Amino acid sequence: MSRVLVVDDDPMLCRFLELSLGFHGHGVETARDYPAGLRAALRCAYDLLILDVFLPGGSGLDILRRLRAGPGREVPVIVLSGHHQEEIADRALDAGATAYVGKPFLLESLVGEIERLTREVPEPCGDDTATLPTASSS
Amino acid sequence: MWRRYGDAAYGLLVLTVFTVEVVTLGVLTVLFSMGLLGRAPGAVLGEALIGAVGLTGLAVLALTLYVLVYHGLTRSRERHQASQLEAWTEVWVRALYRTGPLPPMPLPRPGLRAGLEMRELLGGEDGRAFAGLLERAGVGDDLLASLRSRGRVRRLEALDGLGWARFPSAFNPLLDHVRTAPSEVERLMASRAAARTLAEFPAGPERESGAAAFAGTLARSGLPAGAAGEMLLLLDKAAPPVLERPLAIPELPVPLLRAGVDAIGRLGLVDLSEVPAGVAAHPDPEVRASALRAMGRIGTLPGDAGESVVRSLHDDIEFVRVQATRAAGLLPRRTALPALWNGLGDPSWWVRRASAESLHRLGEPGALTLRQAAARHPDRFARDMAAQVLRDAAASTGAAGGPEEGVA
Repeated sequence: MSRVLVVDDDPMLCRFLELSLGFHGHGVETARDYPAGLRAALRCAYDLLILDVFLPGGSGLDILRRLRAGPGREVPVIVLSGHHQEEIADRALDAGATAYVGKPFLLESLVGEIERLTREVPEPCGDDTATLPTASSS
Repeated sequence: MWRRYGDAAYGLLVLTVFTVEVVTLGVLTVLFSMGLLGRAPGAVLGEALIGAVGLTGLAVLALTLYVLVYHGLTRSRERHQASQLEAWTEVWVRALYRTGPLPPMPLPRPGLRAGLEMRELLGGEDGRAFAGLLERAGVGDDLLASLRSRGRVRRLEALDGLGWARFPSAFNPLLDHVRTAPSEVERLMASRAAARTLAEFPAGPERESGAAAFAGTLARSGLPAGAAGEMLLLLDKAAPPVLERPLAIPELPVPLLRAGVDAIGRLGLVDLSEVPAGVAAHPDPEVRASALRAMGRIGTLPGDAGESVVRSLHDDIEFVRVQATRAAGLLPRRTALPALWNGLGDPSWWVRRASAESLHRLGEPGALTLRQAAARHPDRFARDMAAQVLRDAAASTGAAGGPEEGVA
């Protein structure tokens, strides 16, 4: 079973992924805003991250950049967004995303992608010590 | 306004505060006027002043408290709505995975919203399967019943919901609504919902017959060209069979013809590129411009469309020449290069700019022509434009490539 962190401000999407990925045997935790998402992401307790781009308090791509610059160079990250898809996809991949999934999506494809990406990842984080942000979570 | 709820309460409070302030200031004005005339003792004036200040303070306090309480209530209301949405999402996911029953009808608002949002989230077969589940739960019947409601808001909400749900069974009732709805807004929303529904039909006879019905309804809907264009784009993969039909109608209204040609270009429908080519010499300049733009977007000039493009380079209408200049990049080089060289000397700034940009997009032969134009085009404005586009291109790539580079 892989541990997945979903960072998205949409309560329906978070609950949907929590339950449906749970049915496929993945453990899912959620964060609803930028500070909570950043803190959880840098905790390095997950095998894979699913990030929205537009979050209350900041951008999901900033979380991705900080993750890639610090402890989570190897953690697979899927960016999930429904806005200006081509442009966002390019920006996400430039920022270090492993994959981009646009909304609407096929659940089987998303699950397949998660399983493919988590299969060969030995450790969620490298040796670097994460600097945790001081902002409070929601 | 930043407030989402409580307009009436806020309006009443502000009205009360303003009324109290106006009355207080009026009383103060009268008392102080009497004081000036020696008819009000100083003690009374002092008491009135203190009372007025106190009332103002209370009014400011009331407004502040309202704002603070409002924010607190809004936050708790949003949390409550989010938790309801989550709970209903769980109901739908369990129903989807057959670990829970379908919810009974009628659904409360969060239940409907969670179901429709899930439908919107899931694409392809997943989405269609979930739409089937929503229909089995009775959501389709409920929304169609609301569509027949006498309340306009309820009908609009039903149309919005049907647009999200995209139930195949709702397609014909939606087309009926486009034909019969009294207001343009309802016809627009019904068309949008019908277009989104048709876009979900798998390829085959059902999509073909749906496309025929949609095309006929849209042509007679009286919707503005922009709205019709939006519907055509929403059709996505179902657009070709819809676009083939109305564009073959000789008496099709010009705005719809323009919207259709434009949609062919925006959707990049190569198989329908003959359609814009066929109207490139249309008497209406906007249709001519749309046709040229569409061919430019598709990136191909079928049949003798090249001749239409060359002719349009000398059109009387500026925006037609602009589109022709952009499409001219698709002509064979031996035709395109001299045509665009001439376009650099057009009286219109827009045509000169489009010519220079088209030349730049032609690669090295175009860039060489641009450099030559910057150095020795007989028209001063053409030389300036060519030099400007070369400078812009060099600045955007960070490479050397100014107007003086490589001119023989």
